Amino acid sequence: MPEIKVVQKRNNTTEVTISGELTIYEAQSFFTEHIQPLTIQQQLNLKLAKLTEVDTAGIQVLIMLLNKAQELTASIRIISLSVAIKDYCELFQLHHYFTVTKDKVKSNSGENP
Amino acid sequence: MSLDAALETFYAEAKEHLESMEHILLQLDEGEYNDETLNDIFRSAHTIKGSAGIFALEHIVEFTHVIENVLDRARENEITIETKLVNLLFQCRDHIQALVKTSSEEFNDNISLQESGANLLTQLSPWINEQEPSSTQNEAEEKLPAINQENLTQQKCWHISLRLSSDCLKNGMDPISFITFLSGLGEIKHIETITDNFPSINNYDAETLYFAYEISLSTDADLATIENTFMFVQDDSDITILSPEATVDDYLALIDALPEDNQRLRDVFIKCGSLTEQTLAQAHKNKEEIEALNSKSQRDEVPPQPKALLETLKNSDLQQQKSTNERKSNKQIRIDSDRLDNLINLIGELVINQQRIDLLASTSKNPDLLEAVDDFEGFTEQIRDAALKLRMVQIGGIFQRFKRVVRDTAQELNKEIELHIEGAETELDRLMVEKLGDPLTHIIRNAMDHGLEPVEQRVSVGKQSTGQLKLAAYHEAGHVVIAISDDGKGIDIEVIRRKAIEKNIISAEMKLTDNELFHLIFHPGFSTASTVTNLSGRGVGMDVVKRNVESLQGSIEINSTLGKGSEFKIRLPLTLAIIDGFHVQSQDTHFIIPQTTITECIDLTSHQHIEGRHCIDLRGEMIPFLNISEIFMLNGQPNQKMPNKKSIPREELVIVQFGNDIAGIAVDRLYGEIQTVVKPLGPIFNSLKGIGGSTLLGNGDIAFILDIPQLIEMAINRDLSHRHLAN
Repeated sequence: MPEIKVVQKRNNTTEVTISGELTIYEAQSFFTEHIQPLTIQQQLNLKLAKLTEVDTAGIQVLIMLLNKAQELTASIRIISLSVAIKDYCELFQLHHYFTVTKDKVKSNSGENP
Repeated sequence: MSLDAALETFYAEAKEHLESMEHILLQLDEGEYNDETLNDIFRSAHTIKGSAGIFALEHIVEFTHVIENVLDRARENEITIETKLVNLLFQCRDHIQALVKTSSEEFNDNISLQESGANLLTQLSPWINEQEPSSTQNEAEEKLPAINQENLTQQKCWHISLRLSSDCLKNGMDPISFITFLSGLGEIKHIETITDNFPSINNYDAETLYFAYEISLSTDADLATIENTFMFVQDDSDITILSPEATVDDYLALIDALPEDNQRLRDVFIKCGSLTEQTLAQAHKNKEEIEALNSKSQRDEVPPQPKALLETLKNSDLQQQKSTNERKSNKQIRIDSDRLDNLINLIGELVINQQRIDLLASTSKNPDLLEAVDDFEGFTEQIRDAALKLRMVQIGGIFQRFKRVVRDTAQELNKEIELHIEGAETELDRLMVEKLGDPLTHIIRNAMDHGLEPVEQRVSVGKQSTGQLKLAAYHEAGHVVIAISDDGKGIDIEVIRRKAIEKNIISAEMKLTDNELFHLIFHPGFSTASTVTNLSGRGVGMDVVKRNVESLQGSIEINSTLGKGSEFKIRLPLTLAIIDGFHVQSQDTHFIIPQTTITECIDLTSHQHIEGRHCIDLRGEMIPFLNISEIFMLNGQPNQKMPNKKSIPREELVIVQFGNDIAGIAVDRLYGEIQTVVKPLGPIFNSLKGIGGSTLLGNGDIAFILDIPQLIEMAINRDLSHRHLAN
């Protein structure tokens, strides 16, 4: 089971750190237990540097998290990414979803890097 | 298709490709060296590697990749496949076979397998292109520059539109494997992961695939190869592959056919480079013109243009794709053997029920009903035959295997041997074909080891230097005969007799016919080979061969002429599941005699019983016979019962034949032909001689199916022992 750490900061920021493996085996329970009930403030900071393994089901859960944040009109910042996610994004050219950037990344913009 | 099922398919296909590799290597070995064979063997290796890659079976991929590389070089005429390389490739093929049988985990633990693989690769090194690293990870990168160079001259960009089954992830298939595989085929110019289909957070299921993909792939691979990537998900996915030659209209039709928003898809396609703004605009203009024309000419009935386009797309562009699919499916359908067995079982029940109806109808004496039942019987028989045919496979598959056995064994023995195959198209029950492998191998090895002489010896007796070995299959009176013959030195009867006496199998005084002497080699513990070679005479003797064949209700016959050669004939029933039987009765018990073994039925009392022997004189020929009631001790001990039963004389004698042997079986009553569904007896009856199975009769009674080869043997032996007593 992947580990998730949620820190609700005073400055209207929700900081989410996910580590471990996020694959089809854990995706459903991880989603219902952590992502669905997650409270997101105006700013979502995502730390994904310690996500050791990710597959398509895992990536979908992450995108669902980004979608949720977007629906709540929260700004999204991806603070860090693990090699596993980078590799996945390399293969599927998903950089517009997952790029470490100081700029705010919109989740459904479809921008090409 | 779930992952397990897909893996199952992978193993089945890998097996086929390995067989075809072996076949081609044999061709190469015989000097049939042309582009087509080289292409075929390359493709086989390539497919194994590719499919293994989809399942992340790295140990197979890594090794096969090198083989593929060597074959590719041969294909490009950079190297020639000489005898040394053929021999090595044979070993490599076997190694791949071993790898396919081993899981990744097992492989990691199996050091000897790893070593032998490494050893083979070292041996292959003279033929490997030094610049090409053997690691597959680098393959994609390695290929890239080459492809880019080609792109300068000819840009071949395929467009692949993937709407994979939403259950794909649940079934253990991650799109990662497909995309990785595609990137190995060439360069993925662009891949657009479409996330439009994500549901709201409350309807989200983390194990459902919501991604859709539009891919533009630059590759030299053909449609079939690209298609193959998706062969394990084809069933419930929508996959459209547009060739580099596809027109703007094809793309527009595809856009219309896809579930996502058209404008969004146009943007995606432009990003993929599959469409450009200009072509789109041009197409749009054309379309408007056509629509204008259409509306002008037939105002009432404006054909919905997108649909029409979709049709053309389906008819024209997908035609290529379809035709390859059709070609594949026309050839074969893979069916789970359990399902087939189930069908055969059901048909067995149908046959039994049909007999019950038959019985009821005959008591009712209603002519209309009788006629209908008669027709019903005809169809039941046809269904039975058709179903049994489904299980039939050509024997050629197993014969093919022996080409390799013969080649290797000949090399090992330093003999020149040529294998001829006849009647490879003869069909036989699949189960039997599988079980025949071992006995055939043994007989063939024996023939090569003991039968065929070394070159010098052959030349000295005036034979051609190459030993001739023939494998033939044909139908004969409801049986399939497989004959293995050689032109070697033949079996020396005297040697067999001496050895048998020496081993106390027969006594010195016994007079045996040639045929009986030949059959002594099937006696357990009998081996004439004075030296135990690596090939034959390794303890697993001819008795095992005989037992294997007998377990298939078959028999072996030997013909041999000293100095000229020998022939082994294996005679097998066509099928084991349902047979045409002949229903007889002895005392109160019903028996079935397989129809194919019966030559005639005679009246026992009218033939002369030969004094002191269990034999009758049938048209001047001595026929041994036995009483069923005696053999199976029906109604208690026969000797005590005999006097009581005197009022019912045993008068019917069924003459049965199996191979060269003939015997009579005395019964009380003959009923006639009956379709018999063979039900095996439980293992506790294994030691029961003379009965091969049981069946249910139409009236619910049980009948035993007689094992004729065993009974004939019993009759002959009893007669023999009588003779010895008399002597």
